[in-house]
Amino acid sequence: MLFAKRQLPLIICFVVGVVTALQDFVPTNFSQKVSIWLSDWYIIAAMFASLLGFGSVALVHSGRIRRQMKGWGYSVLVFVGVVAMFAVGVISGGKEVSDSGSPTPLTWMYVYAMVPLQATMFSLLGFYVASAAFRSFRAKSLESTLLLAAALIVLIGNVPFSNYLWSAKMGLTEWQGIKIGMPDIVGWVMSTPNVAARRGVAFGVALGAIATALKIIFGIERAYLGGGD
Amino acid sequence: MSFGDIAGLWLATGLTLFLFSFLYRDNPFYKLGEHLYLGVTIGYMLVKLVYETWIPKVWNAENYALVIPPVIIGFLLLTRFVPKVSWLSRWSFAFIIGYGSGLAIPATFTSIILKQAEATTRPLVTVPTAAEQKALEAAEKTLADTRAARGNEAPETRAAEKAALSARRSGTYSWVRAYADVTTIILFLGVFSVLFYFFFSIEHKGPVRIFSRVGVLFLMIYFGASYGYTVMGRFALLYDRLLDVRKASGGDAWFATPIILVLMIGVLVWRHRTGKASEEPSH
Repeated sequence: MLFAKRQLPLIICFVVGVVTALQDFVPTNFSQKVSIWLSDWYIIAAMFASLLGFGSVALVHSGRIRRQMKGWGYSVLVFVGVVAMFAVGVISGGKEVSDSGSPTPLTWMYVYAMVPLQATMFSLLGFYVASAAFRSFRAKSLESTLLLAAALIVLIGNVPFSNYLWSAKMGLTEWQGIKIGMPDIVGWVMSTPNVAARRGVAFGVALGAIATALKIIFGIERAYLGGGD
Repeated sequence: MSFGDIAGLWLATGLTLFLFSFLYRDNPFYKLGEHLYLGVTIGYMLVKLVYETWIPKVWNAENYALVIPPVIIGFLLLTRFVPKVSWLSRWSFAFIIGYGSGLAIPATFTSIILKQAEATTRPLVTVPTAAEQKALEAAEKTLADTRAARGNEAPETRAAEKAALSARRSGTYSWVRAYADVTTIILFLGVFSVLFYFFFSIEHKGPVRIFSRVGVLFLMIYFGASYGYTVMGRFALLYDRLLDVRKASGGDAWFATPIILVLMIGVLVWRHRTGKASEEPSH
């Protein structure tokens, strides 16, 4: 029993990991077939993993409704949202556009319910990010000044009015063949110092990801097994 | 505007205003929008899972024998809900984690390490090639000939001047070339100084400390630029929402925005007056 609980998962992980990694280096017909199978298997398994997440949310909210906890009515709304969207999806046959070319009820729900909710939620975060920055951004040292300057250049530079002032009013568009308009300056900041630092971080992340993947495949990292036996 | 569009605008405006009401304080409208958001998102993902994964890959599979193992793997995942046999889900997690790890190794190596290294290791200083110098000579000769034949103001002369200017930029060590070289050097310096900042195998003192400090400066620009970019993205979404709210405020949309706003404010004031606002459960 202990073998099935502890060793077998490690063996499965090792075999699947090695086969998947090697496929990339041995692109034969057979290995490519195996790769497609594994990819499909992974997609199907990931679907059940999503169901696990949804089930977990359903358990939490059904528990709140069952115990009539304070604010349980909001939990009912979660189920109302799920049922409404799913029912509309089934009516639409999972399609965004009907056979006649008109948008389906699923598209209607997506455009008028999901998109506004998603966009508003993210734009709401913009307020908090901006107000937090207003309180914390101070040019106290060289580092914080650079952070502030880069943020301001990107923020102000993306506003069309700043480009109007910079290019139309001040006439700053080109110098010795080098484009120095506001969008060019923002583009330079984004594509040169920003990319340089991001690339450095990406190298570190990539090496870390490969090291972690190897540790998982070889059974050194076993946190995914959870606790217990 | 069709009835469907008007109803949609009412729904979108209502949900938008419900969520924006959080800027005032946590209130029932915000909670309503928040919980609906969760439900609607799960519902949409369920639709996508059923119609884009379950039906084409499992229900209508060409070879059912190949589909049985992943379905078993999937069902074993659901044993997490049954504590006595929840250990069975480890097999599924082992498959998912193993596949992800196996995929990550070659993908990360090729798409990040090799590609990014290739983009970083470019010539730091470039000189005009023989072909570019030859092109410059030809362009200068064409310009001189055109000037002699057509004069200074002719359109052909202007075109030849443009071509010569472009050839001068690539055929000589121009400001444009110097700018491109400086950009390459800054990129190179930035990548290596940032890598050095995260390199802990040697003590950061002396020249190493200075170099790693340069890395910190690049990181600060990165954080600042990323912050600015994120805020711009969020504000672009905000403008879009505000435009929709404005669109729904006219007679075309049966005055959705003012009516919903007045109702919301009315309910909030009523709740405040009756003391119900203080009874609201917090998250």
